[in-house]
Amino acid sequence: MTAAAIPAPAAAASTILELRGLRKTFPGVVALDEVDFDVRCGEVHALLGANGAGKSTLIKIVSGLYRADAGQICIGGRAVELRDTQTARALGVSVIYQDPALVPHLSVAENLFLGRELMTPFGLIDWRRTHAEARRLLGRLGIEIPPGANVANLGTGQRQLIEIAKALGIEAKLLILDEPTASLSRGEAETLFTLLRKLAQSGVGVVYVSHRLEEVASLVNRVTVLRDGRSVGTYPVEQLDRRNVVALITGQDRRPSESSPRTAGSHGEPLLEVRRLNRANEFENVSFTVRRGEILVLTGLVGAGRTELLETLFGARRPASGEIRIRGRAVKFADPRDAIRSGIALLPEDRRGHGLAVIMPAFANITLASLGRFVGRFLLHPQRELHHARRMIDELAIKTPSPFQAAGLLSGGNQQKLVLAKWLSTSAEIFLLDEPTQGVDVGTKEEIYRLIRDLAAAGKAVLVVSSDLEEVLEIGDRVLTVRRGRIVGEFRNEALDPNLLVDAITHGQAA
Amino acid sequence: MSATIAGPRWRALLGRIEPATIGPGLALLAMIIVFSILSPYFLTRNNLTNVLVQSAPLLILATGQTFALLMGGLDLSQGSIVSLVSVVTAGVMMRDHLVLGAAAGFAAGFGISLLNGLLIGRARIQPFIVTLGTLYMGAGLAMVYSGGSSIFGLPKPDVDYFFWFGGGFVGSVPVPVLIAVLVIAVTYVVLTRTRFGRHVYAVGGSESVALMSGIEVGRVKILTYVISGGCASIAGFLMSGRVISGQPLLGAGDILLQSIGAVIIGGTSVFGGQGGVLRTVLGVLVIAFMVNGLNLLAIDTFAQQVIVGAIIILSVWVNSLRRRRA
Repeated sequence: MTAAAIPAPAAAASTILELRGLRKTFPGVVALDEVDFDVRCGEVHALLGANGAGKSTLIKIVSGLYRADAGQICIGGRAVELRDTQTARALGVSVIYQDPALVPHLSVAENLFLGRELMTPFGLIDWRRTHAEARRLLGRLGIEIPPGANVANLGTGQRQLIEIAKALGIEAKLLILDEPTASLSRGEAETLFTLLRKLAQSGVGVVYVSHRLEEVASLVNRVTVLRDGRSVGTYPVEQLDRRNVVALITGQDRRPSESSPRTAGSHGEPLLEVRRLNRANEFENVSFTVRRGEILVLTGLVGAGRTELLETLFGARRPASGEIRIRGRAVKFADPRDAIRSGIALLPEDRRGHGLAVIMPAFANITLASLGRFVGRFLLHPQRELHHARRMIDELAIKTPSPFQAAGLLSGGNQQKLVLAKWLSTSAEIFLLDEPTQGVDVGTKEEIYRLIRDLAAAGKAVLVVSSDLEEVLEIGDRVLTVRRGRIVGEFRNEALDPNLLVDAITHGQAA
Repeated sequence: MSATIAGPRWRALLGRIEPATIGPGLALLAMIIVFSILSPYFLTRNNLTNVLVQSAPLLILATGQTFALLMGGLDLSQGSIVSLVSVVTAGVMMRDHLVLGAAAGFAAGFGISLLNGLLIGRARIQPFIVTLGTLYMGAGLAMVYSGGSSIFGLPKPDVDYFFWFGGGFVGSVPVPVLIAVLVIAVTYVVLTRTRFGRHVYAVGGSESVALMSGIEVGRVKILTYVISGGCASIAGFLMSGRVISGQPLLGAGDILLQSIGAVIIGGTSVFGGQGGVLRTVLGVLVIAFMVNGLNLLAIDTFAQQVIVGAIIILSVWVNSLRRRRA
């Protein structure tokens, strides 16, 4: 914490990365428009912006994956042309993406030296030196993972640390992290922050891409905000607070939502009842009820068994014991198809893996679960289908150049809206939403909250899993805290003290 | 993005002119121009009819193969099904008559395809492994049933009807071409206008998403392989009729590889989820005209194989370059 306040060391004057007038267009979109951006040696620089603001494009240009249409790139004071990723890497640019790019079934040491293996004079791999060097590298960074550990057995957080170590092994001078904490627990994030501070102090320039200032305020020196492909300015972090960052990101002087939590008590009959549901090593004796018009939030740390619980309710896993009742009737689902027929919808946590077919066009994703609606006597009615897709795109304000755009090319927030549109097209009455705003920008977040409230107002039952405390407080009528697969507390939102909630999540004390 | 909806709207859905078809389309055009300059015979009505008649079985096979590839799979057993259908049809015809022979032949083809489907859709074994296995089994069964030799001397008058399917005419249109066009038309409608068709794309696009969207993935897979094998059975029947005999090695040549090659040349993704049957038609025509043109120029068949192989690689390469630039 204290380290962050220390100004960048003597190297501050020298600039590791300087971008001038960077421009990049894709067919139909200007991704970057005359963007200036610079990173000094020894600073941690946050790059903030909504999804689709141009952050990823900027990173991809600096890492040599894309080529800019116009503009100048200077690395270490020299104008360079980044033809491919190797060129960028040779100049000391290292990018760490959300999904760690490590080979799963090789050891930590093997991964650290992948592609630059240490050899004996006979041309074989020098395992002793490899392990010794790996241990030294990890030790220097204070990472307590044995070099012989199999990467497949490490968590996401640990993998990210290994990636940083790998980047340093190849003497990165500029380290770019793309939303690294999206899937990290609080503890893991702290370890990561400590490491990044250490790195900055040693003179490395660090770019931290995020769309939440709160997350990085304690870490960064300066902040640059992108909006719609343009830079709206670079500021020392002290000059910013949550409110003006949100205004910079969204371009409106909108206040952070302070809408009052919805009042409980007026909910209808129970739609979903869960009684003593069990699955070995995942969750234990879980019981709760969600009523018509109610938003129930399950919160807890990542890995607390929440995703598994939702997948069980959706028929993708079978419970070992316990009972699920829908509208008062006990049900047993063989597969998700059964669950969907009973009026259940699941917005999965793994959006690209389970939520939408990224190579299929947007309209086909929207209608994927409700094709039956568009079948005439024998055949699909394309006009009706397309008309419906266009209506959903309008209603949810999904930003896409056309309904035929491949879903994977849309930004994270718009992808999430597509998944939501898919389920809104069915006759589902019970909505299971797993981390609905993960990887979604501030503006879209508010829109998704509004959609969730609309669902409840329309008499649906909504069960949300979330580890974002603000989100929990924002949308939940009732909140259940989960710890190690057990429900350890229940709160009504009106009288909810956030500290109590955090306590229950981390220590398991029931209120 | 710039592609706007033109013509009937349903064409806009999955049948828009895809950039992927431009490559093979231009290749076909270039070939026709070059061959018609080099050989005066190339552009004659006689030659073109000939090419179409010869490529009709391949059109049907590749149409079935399109389902398998779109769904993210592959059907290696098509050639063996051709052989099996051929000998069973002819064998039963020897003793009884054409109708019973055809029924028995198609039943045999259906048996292999259903086995493929069940093993892939229910036992969840990879399509490559399953169809590699049934490729051997089908080829072996055809040899066992026929005793390893061709079945000639089919009884009159059935043999004339049999030949009609492989080499007859309706008016001036060759019967096999008519059947191929019918199969392609039905496939086009199935792929673009039915739930099943959309489900094939969805399973090929992402199997887990399809599952989580309530699609019966197992059923889609079974049906896909039944269709692929069904197309192979039709092709086997037409090919046998053309040679008025049962041939245990009828599908053992490069017709299977051409079937897969044509789908790929047409621009359907090897990973599934993208493509369509019209692209496959394009792919078949590229192969058919290439082979025909080279024949007219008296280039031997072995050199032709080299060229067809190069085209397969080239077309996938061009597609991947395009994708990389996007």
